[in-house]
Amino acid sequence: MTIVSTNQLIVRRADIRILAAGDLEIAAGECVGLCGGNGSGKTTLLRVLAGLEPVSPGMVTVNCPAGDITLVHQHPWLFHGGVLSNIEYGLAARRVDRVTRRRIARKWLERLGGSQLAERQVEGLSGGERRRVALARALAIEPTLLLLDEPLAEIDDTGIQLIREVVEGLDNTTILITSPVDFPAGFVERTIQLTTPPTISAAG
Amino acid sequence: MDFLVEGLREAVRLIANGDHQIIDATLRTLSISLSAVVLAVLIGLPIATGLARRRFVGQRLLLVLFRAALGVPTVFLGLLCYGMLARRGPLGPLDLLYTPTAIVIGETLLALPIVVALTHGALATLDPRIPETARTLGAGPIRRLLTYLSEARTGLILAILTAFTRCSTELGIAMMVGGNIKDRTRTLSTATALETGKGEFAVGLAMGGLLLLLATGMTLLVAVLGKEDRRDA
Amino acid sequence: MIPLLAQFFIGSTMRLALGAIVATVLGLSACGGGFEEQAGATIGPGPTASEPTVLRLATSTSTADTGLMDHLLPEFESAHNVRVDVIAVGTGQALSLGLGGDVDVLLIHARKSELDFLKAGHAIRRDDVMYNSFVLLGPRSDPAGISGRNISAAFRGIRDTATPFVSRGDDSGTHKRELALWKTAGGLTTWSGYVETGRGMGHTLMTANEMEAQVLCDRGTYLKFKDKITLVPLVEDDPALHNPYGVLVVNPQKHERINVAMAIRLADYLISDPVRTKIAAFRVEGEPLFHPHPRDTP
Repeated sequence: MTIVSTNQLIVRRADIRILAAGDLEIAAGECVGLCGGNGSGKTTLLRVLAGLEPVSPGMVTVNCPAGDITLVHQHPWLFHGGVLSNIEYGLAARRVDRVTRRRIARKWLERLGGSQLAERQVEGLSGGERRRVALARALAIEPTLLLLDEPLAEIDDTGIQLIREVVEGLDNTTILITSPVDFPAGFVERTIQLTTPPTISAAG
Repeated sequence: MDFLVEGLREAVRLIANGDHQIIDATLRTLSISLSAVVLAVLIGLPIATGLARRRFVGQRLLLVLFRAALGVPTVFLGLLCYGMLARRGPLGPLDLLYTPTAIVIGETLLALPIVVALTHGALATLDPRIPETARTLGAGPIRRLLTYLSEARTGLILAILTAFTRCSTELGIAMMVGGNIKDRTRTLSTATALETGKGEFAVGLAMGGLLLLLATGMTLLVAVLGKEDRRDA
Repeated sequence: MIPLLAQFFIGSTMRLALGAIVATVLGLSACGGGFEEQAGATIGPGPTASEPTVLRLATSTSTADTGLMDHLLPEFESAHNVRVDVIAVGTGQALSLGLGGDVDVLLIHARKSELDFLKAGHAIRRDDVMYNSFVLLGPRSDPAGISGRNISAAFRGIRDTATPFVSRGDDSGTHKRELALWKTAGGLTTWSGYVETGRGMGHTLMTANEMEAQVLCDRGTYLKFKDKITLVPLVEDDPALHNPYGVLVVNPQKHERINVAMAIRLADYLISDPVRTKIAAFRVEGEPLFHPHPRDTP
């Protein structure tokens, strides 16, 4: 089933085109990479899919309830407090009970190689540590559509490996942005290349 | 004048001896100002969040009015409250004039613009990633609101502290609607004015100094309790 | 909802919230206490035996500052199980409070205004209580050369020499007397040295002291400030400087909660013989200040 399809998608900000994605289709369950140089609109595309950028009606169709879509920012914001309470945030919003929440949070933190951070407060975490926590926070709610903006930045090789395993093991749809340079082989099934508007091309 | 030195010496002596007047005035100032701030927060926080998160007709104007009210002279507020609370006034039947409650009412009005304007400022300048993260994680409106308040906590605390300092040191309201009645409505600020008017500069210095200590103490207390943020996001 | 709030309050925020709750409780108990007493005192058929009633007395700041009230009132309070709230404001404001029915009884020193007040029906009773006197202070050098003269001549001299003079300018008893004295001295046309402070006697005195100016002052305040200023009495003991104090019982028709019964008792108390003795014996800085009003004078 197609989970995302776009129809001549163009996004403008103050009369300047910041994204021209044309016609795209992403099937449910795919893991797709988004590539492109600076200013090609990669982040904007993710934000559009997450519902954070307004678009003209009909340009984007997302076959997924808004509550099942999650975006992890390029520079994620962690809420004041502890690592685990951050990861639990979305679970708490879904009224998952305290004990189960904690269990799930610890599980995801461990899968991402961050168990040592469990009792920490968010103040003082390194960039890579923050990203792991933010990723765990998004994964904990098991979204149907997972949008990741440069999830591999500041992560060491071991971490990249862990993240790849985790993402591969997911049976949801994942769209992630990363630069082609540190795209490990086989990480994603296909890539979508965005170029600075007005042209795009898709490579499979 | 060398009354300053003599005054300071006398001030220390009075405080050290636990002079009854001073203890009474201090406790009263604390309880009245704290009550006023708590009330101002209860009323002002919803107003501030409403102003920050919604768009409606007159929003801009309302915000400007609250900000302008930051500079209201306390004597003016005192007069207003007196007009309302006096027996001839609309709230006369409540018989609140010359009670500590009257001062609390006046100081709540004093603290309200401070709480609203400063809290609004803190909420309106939150990093846009905060609402985006909260939304995309599925938080409902109440949870989101609590999250925003939590993230803006430094600004909130500053608002509360500022309001408390303004309330505990103000004179105009306490005088007008409190009446500076001994053991009833005498606050540190009215007592200072009284003693100074009597020429008791030493006692006046003592009380004024205590007022300063009170404000400083509050700041320190909040810093200790609240564990100041050191964000590097 | 509850778990959500609980989560919010964990940790440092919890302590702040608890602190706020404690503060509210503290504050409300402080206010509530006063309010209940106030309400209990003046409404209804009468308080319980143990609850003191409340009597509100407005007086001038200079009167309160002498400490006479603290000296006289405790005995009255325990004898009648009453709490007297003394509100010390300017004379003008005291009259205004009486006018509005916000106080039950006035003790002020502005005889003409007092009589007007009585005549207009704002008070149901007025009694002479005591008197002291005003004193004209000025620099030791006596720039206007008025020392020892009678007060009318002295005022004339000050005006004619245009030497510095500081006035209360605030419609207080002292200020009213000053204006009356100017009138008997042929009128007041201000000069650059005539300054109005609009403030209380203590502040006005200190200002005059700084400016080395002449000032009309009540004797009580002068005695208290004597060792803080360099000004000295230039004219005293003139009958025109006589400063009588009157007690007025506010008309209970002003407001149903006027404590008129107790106000009358206070007026009776102030003119009673034992209290008159106390007044005469009262000392400020070791010197006598007030003289009880003579019995036989109408």
